Amino acid sequence: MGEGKTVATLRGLVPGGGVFTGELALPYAGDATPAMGGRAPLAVVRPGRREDISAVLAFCNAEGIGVVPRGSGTNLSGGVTAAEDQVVLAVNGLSRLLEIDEENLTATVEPGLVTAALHKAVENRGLFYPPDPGSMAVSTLGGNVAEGAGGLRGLKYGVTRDYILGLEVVLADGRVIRLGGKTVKNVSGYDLLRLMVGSEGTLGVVTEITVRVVPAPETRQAILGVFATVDAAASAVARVIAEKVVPATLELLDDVTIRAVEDYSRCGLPTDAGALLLAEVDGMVEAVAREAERVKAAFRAEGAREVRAATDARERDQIWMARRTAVSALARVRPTIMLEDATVPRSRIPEMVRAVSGISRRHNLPIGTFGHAGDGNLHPTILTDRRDPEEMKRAEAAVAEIFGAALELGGTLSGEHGIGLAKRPFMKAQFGEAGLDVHRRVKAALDPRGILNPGKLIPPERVSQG
Amino acid sequence: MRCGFCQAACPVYREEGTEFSVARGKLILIEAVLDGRSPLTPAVRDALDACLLCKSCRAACPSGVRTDLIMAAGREMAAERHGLGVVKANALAALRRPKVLGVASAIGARLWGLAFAREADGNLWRLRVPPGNLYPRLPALSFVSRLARGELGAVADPESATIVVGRSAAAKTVIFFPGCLVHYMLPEVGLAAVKVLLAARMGVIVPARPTCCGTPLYVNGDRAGATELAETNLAWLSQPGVTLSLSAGDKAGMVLEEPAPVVFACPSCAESWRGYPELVGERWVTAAKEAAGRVVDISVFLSKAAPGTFGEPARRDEWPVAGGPGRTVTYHDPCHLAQAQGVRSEPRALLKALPGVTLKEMADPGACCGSGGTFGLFHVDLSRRIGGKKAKDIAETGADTVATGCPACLLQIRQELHLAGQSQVAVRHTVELLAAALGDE
Repeated sequence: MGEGKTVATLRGLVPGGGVFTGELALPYAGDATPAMGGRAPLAVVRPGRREDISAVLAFCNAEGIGVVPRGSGTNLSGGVTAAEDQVVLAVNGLSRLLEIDEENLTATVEPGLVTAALHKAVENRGLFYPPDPGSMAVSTLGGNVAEGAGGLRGLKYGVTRDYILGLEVVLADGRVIRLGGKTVKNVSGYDLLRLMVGSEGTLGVVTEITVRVVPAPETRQAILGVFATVDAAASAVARVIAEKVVPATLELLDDVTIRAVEDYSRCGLPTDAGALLLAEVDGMVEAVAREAERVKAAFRAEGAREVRAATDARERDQIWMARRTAVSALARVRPTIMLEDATVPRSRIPEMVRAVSGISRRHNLPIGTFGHAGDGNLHPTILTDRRDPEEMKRAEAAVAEIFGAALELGGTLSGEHGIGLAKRPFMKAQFGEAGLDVHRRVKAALDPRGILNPGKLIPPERVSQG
Repeated sequence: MRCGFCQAACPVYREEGTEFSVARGKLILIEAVLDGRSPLTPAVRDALDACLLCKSCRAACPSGVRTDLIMAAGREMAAERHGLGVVKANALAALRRPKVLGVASAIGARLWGLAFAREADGNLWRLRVPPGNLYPRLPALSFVSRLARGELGAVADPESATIVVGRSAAAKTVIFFPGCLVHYMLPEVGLAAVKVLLAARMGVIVPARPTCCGTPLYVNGDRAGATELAETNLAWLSQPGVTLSLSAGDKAGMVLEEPAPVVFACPSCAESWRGYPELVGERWVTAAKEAAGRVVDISVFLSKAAPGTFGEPARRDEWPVAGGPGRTVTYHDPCHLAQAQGVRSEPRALLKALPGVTLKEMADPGACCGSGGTFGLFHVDLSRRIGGKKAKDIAETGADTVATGCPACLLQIRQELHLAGQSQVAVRHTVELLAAALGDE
């Protein structure tokens, strides 16, 4: 089928929706990953009705056209980049909040609903949806499910995966299945629900999501600890955990990151600090007071120069808002940033921090390190310039070493950003040939013609490297 | 970094939900046209055009991308290659010649009854005016004409092309730049501004022939035209009679020892002046920087330069307030005031301090009203959808008055409330409410 006919057919399949081609499709070629996506995909289809997604997939499956499902395009691993012969399926037009079920403590939404909008809606009812990826002001729930998104509150509350109770999924051939539901317990059949979460749009397109919500914590207290070195801050993280306190959030920012964030947010971070720890404890009033004291004591015991608590909700929100912009703020420092997501068991954080600073020194590259230190998920970010090929070579070598260090410490390539295109070459190092084979078989079983987000997550057989 | 955080800030994206409707996508399109990967097709031009230039994306960008400048450059590129289109070209050309605009608006005022007495129900040239629009009548006399007739005791000084208001009682002097909307369409806002400045014991200098600030040209891609207007304004400002002199004993009886603040009741004009250093030619840069440093919104000026004048309990006696019925006022944050200048608390503080006024916040006071200057004329449907939400938020407060700090927002909100069947809600510039509290509205 020729391009023109394909586009005409697609238009017929999404009455009331939008189909964009040519220049207007160009902004859909890439996502938030630096230096990806240069040419316009074949078409962008933006359905206005759920059933149209089935029709589009059935058609593309029959024609063998690759489909890249997309929410807000905030992916950081090249996960929603689209090639010239592929169709982008933008699901952000389906964005209704269908139900908040206070009796069953669930919320049911369409995939295009923005994460922060769900937060607001459930919080108005005294409920709480904990997963809070850094991009939550724009990210969609559909994207969160596809990526298995994490966030700042992962330490105490877990990640998106831990809150998904039910999904409606359109398969590659357009058939619709429902997985899970509103029940807390559910062991019927294979756990296909969990298979879909984090599958990066390679196994199906999520069209309805039922999440678990919890009662909102009674109160919250944010605590800021100022340290001379990243090492000291990392030790303080280990000490907090050893003290048997589980803060909702325990974030680390190094000096480079502190300055970049403060430059944008002007929320009063100490720009002369070597490292910062930002913690938040939440829960019942009495428990929060006690836990806050223990966190402060742990910070001081590891030599914190200053330990202070946010005085009010406004200051607290400002600090977290600032922290969420860390990635983008680092982009002020140098033209190209390479953001990594390697994650280690939380006890190995001090070792990981040392490994990263060693890599930074050896390759003579500035690496800003920040992230969810409390749950072992750091974001070492290489600040570089893609116009300098020699430096880019060093940067790529540094990335490979960061992954190597994480795996050596019993960690994983990605804690929350996904594999996408960017980390594909390292999959074999983590899974081995047998592990990759299982990935390929699962993919082939659910998407035999390989139309769903082609090329993402699983390395092609020849190119996979160790 | 293309994080896409601008999606959360963009009023157009909130309605359209497409990548090319938000800054991230528009920047990708501009880049592609510049490096030759994409032609400048009508679709691209339309995409670049569908932007309110509200600067929300710039304020929200953690990477510090100056999206507003890039967008303007993109439009300049489009205008250079393809021209402005007949309607825009004519309208903008008129702005470049105040005399033509003055005559046109005088004729417009006369013909208004003929052309727009009934609600427009067809096409107004190519502006695609939908049925039900409320087009404000052009007043017979502009702001400056009314001052020239001696209202508020104004005295003309032909030498410096100024009109001076305020007597020797004035402690200090300020320059008030009305901007086209206030000058031609909302003279009552200009008069209210002068009145409150007088009440704050300021002498006020107003240009006798106000020149457009340049924004409508700049945002539509006519950078050269905007530059010309900017330089005209700077030339007027740097005359001895305006900036340097007016010593004691002068006919206006005012002392001007330091460069006077340039006060604005139109935040878009103020933003325009702040951008002059990057707009004007080499020899004007120093003057432009100096002028930009003096730019101040009237609400900020009144709060800072005249603390206590407006409703501070200790000085109430000096604020001759009329009694009158209590009013519930809700305040709309203009994008160019709140997003671009970070001014949110000052107007609210002024309003709250007014006796009998209760300030009731609407759901999302910072959400754009959908006007975007000329945007509303060329993107009627989109502007309507954005503005409709604003009208709904306002209606839900139950307020009898909406205050705002921007003449364009004021006109847009008035129209949206009319369309929503809420014409009973009064829409006023903040300074109008302050002036009304002075007692003789």
